[in-house]
Amino acid sequence: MKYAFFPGCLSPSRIPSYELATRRVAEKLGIELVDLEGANCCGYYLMAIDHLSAMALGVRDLSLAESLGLNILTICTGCFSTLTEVNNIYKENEEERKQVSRLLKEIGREYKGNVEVKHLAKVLLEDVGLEKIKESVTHPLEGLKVAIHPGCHLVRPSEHLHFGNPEDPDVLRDLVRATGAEVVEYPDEMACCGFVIFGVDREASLRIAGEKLRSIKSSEADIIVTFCGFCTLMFDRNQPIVERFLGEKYGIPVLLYPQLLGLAMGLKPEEVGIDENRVKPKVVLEMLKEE
Amino acid sequence: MASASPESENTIKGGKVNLNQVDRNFVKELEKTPGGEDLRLCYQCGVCISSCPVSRFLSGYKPAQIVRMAVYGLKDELFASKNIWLCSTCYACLERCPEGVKPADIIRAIANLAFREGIIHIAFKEAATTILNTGRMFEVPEIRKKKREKVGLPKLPEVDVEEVKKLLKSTGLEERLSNARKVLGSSEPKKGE
Repeated sequence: MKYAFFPGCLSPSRIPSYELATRRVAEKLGIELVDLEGANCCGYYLMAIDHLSAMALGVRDLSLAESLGLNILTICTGCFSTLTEVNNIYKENEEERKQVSRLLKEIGREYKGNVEVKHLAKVLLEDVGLEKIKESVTHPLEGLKVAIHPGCHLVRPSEHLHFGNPEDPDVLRDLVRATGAEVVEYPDEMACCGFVIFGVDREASLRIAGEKLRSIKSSEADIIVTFCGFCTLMFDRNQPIVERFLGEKYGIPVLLYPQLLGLAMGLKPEEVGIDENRVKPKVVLEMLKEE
Repeated sequence: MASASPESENTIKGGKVNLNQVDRNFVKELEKTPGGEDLRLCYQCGVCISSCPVSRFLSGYKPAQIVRMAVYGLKDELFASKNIWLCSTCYACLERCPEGVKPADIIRAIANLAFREGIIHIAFKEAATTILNTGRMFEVPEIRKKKREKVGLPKLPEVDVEEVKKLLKSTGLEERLSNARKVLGSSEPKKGE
């Protein structure tokens, strides 16, 4: 299992723990990650202002992976959905393919369409497999109540991603259970975190996040587990801002899935970057200490 | 950032469309823009509105209404509104639409057309400028790069910024960004106004 590793822009700039935990967990599961030198932004944000520019950036990344002869493993849900969409359009729409190929040719690159884009979640479920993941767990997190939030772009738009269920967090449920933890249900599990509109309407963005945190709190979950860095920013790093804005208190820690799995594999908290958390996941750390 | 004024007032509220404000070519133009192809299939059932996390907290934001305004050709009104920049791209609307219309993609297509006419929201202008200058959507601070080794991460691969710039010059993005005449959500004086 060897992939071109695509961390995206968010993790290196704001959430290094996501990359760190992924690398540690990958080593344990025999996943080899090859750095993609020269890679750029997937183009997600440009989709909203200039479709062609987004296509050009995304296809450039795909061409870099193709020249290594590797499929992409990304940890960013935004990169996963954008690069997958770009890849599909490039392969299916002749007019766009010609246009983008011409642009790539100007910088001396070419993309033949041979790369598959996978999110870490997809690699874990489809290439590693649940059995192997369960076997890797040495410190089962029994009794830990987890609210799951995959992140919209891990499963939507389903017409492009064909991964999991766009209306149900099934892709994360089995993976969390594999660590020995218990999954608790809460209303609107697949609802958005509000991050994307933070720069356009801050108040609405905070209200969207607050609604979600409130409903998770009501489920009596100990922690939130997600696959999305943007949602982690919103639910953990911005949690005190949401609390202040709405005059509420949640105190719910957020872990990225590879952090949860890493701890269940016996990795130390610092090996999966727990110190970055704004809301400290004391409940998990206490649980591991007791063992 | 300065908070924007409420923009819930619009022409079709109350069932009135001012024909002087209609651009009859707009719908055709949108249908030719990636993402905008299927907008005429919308029959206003409102599933997108009830699925939308933004609509839930901003009563003036309704995906179905944006789609209908586009069909009516209310281009100027759409372009002047913050609404075309408010899609959170959660794609719940796109999954649930019984007609296979893609409201999120249509809204994106409308914003693409607005940008072609020099209109952009400051949040998107800033992000696009960062991408143009650094090749990344978020700049990675030097301190983060240095800290990587300490926590056991390998050196961060460098972006080929020159190639990115060349691509975005060829697509016209660079020029359009510097020529943007109207920047929504910005309190600074704008170029060309």
